[in-house]
Amino acid sequence: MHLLDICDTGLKQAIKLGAYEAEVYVTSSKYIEVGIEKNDIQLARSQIEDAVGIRVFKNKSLGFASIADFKDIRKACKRAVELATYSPRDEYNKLPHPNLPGVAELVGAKRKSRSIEVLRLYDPKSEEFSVKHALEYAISMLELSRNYDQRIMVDRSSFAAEIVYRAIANSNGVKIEETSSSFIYFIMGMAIDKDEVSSFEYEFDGVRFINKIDTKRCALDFAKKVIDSLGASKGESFRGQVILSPESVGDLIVYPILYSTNANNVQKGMSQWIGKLGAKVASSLLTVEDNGLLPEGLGSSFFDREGMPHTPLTVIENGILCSYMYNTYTANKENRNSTGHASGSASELPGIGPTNFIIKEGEIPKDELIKQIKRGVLVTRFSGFPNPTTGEFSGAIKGGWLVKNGELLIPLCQTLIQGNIYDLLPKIFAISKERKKVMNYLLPWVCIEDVSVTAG
Amino acid sequence: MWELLEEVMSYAKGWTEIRFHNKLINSITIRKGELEKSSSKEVKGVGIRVLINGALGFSSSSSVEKDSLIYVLDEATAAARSASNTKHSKIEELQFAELARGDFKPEINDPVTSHSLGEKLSLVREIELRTRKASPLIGSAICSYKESLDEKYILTSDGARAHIIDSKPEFRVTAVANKNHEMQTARESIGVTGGWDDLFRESSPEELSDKAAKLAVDLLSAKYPEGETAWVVLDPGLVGLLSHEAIGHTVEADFVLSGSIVKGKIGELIASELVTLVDSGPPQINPNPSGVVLVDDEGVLAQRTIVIDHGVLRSYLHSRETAKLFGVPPTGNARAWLYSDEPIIRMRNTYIEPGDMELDELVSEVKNGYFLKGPGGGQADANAEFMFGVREAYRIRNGKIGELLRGVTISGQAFDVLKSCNGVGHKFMWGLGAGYCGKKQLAKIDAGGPYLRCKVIVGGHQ
Repeated sequence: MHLLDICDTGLKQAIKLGAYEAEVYVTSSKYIEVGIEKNDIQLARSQIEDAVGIRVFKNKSLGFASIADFKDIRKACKRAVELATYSPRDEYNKLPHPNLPGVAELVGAKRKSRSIEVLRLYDPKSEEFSVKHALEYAISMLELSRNYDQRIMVDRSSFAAEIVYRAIANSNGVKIEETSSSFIYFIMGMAIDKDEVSSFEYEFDGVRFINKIDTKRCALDFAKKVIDSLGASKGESFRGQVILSPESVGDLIVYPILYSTNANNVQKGMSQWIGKLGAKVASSLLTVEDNGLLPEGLGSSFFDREGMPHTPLTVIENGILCSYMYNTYTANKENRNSTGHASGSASELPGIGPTNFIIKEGEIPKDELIKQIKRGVLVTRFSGFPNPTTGEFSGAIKGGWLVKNGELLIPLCQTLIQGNIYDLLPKIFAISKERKKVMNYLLPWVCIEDVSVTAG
Repeated sequence: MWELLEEVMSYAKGWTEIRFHNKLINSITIRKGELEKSSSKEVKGVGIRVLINGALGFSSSSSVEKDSLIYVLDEATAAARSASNTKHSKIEELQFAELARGDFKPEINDPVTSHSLGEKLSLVREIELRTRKASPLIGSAICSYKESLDEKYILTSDGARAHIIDSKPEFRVTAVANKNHEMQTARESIGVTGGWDDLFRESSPEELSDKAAKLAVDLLSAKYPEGETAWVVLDPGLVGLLSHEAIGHTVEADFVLSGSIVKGKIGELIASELVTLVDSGPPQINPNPSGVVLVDDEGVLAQRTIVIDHGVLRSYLHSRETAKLFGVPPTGNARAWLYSDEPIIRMRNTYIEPGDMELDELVSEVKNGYFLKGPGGGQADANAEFMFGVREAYRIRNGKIGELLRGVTISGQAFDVLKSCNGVGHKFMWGLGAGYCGKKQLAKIDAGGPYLRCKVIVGGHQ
């Protein structure tokens, strides 16, 4: 059955059962994966998964239900309408309309062919990709890393291929579909040298096209990181400079920015950046963009979880906060248009989330940044939970290095860093020229002053 | 359902496990007076795992039709055959086990299904409002209720035939306090395996709300600790987090085979003799922990497994595959979150057995240290080095609990920490009821213990 036909069936059912407005989001995916554990093949698997999410408004009251079997669509509509019956009325509960900017262009377009030609989201060859192909890639990652150094133990690794067909329709006339493919692979493990067990390290990547798969880089980068982390010792306690790797920039900088620019958090009083549009929130070196239309981007697609078009959005420019990210509900509250950041799966209500999140590169090569540090730490991985509401973070440095007089001195263990990220964003003093793709983020190395470092 | 699954089984070629699983998750969230979520999510389907030519293959489908399931069986078989060609260590067979047959249901007092959606919505709304109005300094609050209702049919070609019902409700409150552009948050949460009465037995929703609101406000005037290695008294929640995150993962047999720090250490003293650590499927000591598993997803009757007995490492946690490799009985730790997940080794309810000391005694013997309550997030490493957030931390000076501190994180090597343990309290509580463990897939787990005194690194401002 065609996905848009399922959307139509759901819309008709929901309206018949009493919904005033209804939205049906359908996904159907084919997934294969080969898992490695303990340096050997653990499991080969395949999966066919469908999901339907039905959002209804009845008297401006919300109800949502999701199911995994298309045959249960009537049951889901009934459940969603029943939930709406109990919910409080909220005047901002309105679905996107085809007359909103950019939506008309999406409705009725031949999404599948555009996915291939413009955004390059879908590799037709992915239809033929089998468990056997996934096995070859998984084995090659394992062998490459093990051949690098026999002390490496691959705890877990996997290679997965997925094709997702998705469609959304609502009772206002929005009706869109899209197809995408992705190949995601990761490798994780430690090095074991006699009695010493290193800390975990991992490396991962994801691409849209078979000919872009680069398991070799992934395996070798992992291998180097894990061997380098052997011989770690406790560092020194001080307050000073840190260099964050792109992965730790993702944890320590991107996560709080995403939280504080999420319009729902702003409207609910949980963002540090309430009323700060146009104000300086970070160093002038920091420019951040979200772009859902990046060709081949893992976060790319023509439309968001509500059928609104994606368009590039400058979030922070030279340290000045330029925009929050909105879905339709939060946009309705401010009588403005959504920025196309409704996110989530078919089995969840639309939330707010990024597409491809990009920090602009700096001018100094990474190695030069290290040379400029007199006393500091290089954080390769951050193990901790920054509190995005308060900005406070405290966590362990993993695979990190003590830097002295411009040189990586010793790998670190049992060393913590602590601070408040919103206080530290203005203290960014350098950003690297190189950037790394961390799934749907594109991030540089970032240097920050005035961070507390505690050695155990 | 049995008829359908048995018919599909008749087409199976090697060892085969067929698992139907329907997970229904109902959620309500209210934030700052607005309904953010009222949803019902049903994830239903069948997962089939086969062992052929020494390799495992797995396939799943959300369609529960005979033709779909026969296709899924063929796919799993083909996947196993492909994997077999490249797998070095072939799986001869899975370990013999006492397999479950019959109907299994945990203790459920006052089923959540007998409470209307309207009642649940009203409660969440009232508690969110109560939290927000607790102080003029509270700027925002979130309250949520979630219930996960599961039904499974597990059939294996070697004899398991189990029908399992489960019910795991959760309740959470978060308060956000503001003062002079500063913001602090505090969260209280509970979760159980059981019903409505079980959920609110230890604390009422009002008590949770009041605690969260008070702590968020108090944290506004709290100071940061100075970073140092110090004696601390951990509450049952943090003891649970330490048991699960820092110790428990290292004794999962799949991880042991990868080279975890406890590999080859069965029979060795790895912790203080005061420490006995257990992972149990059925409830122990206190009722209704949220990680109750009566039968695991391989159809094995879940056991109470003593991992560390008075400091000595006694057992790892096993699936049928790893149990065979180690030559021991399986412990019933193979779990799958959804029908589309294959069973992997997971913990259930992990805890340290209570000792005989009062909390006052534990604190009074600390000259200079910290009293730490409430698990924040936790992460641990291959070498058992851990990092935990602490929700509520107090200074201890000369045996007396002093001022509240903010932004506290603790770290250390878990076995060094357990070796340093020199005091174990007698009061036992579960502390991770609303928690989930993420290892490739989610799992509902619980963990707890008594108050415990040990030495850790406290992260701080230099």
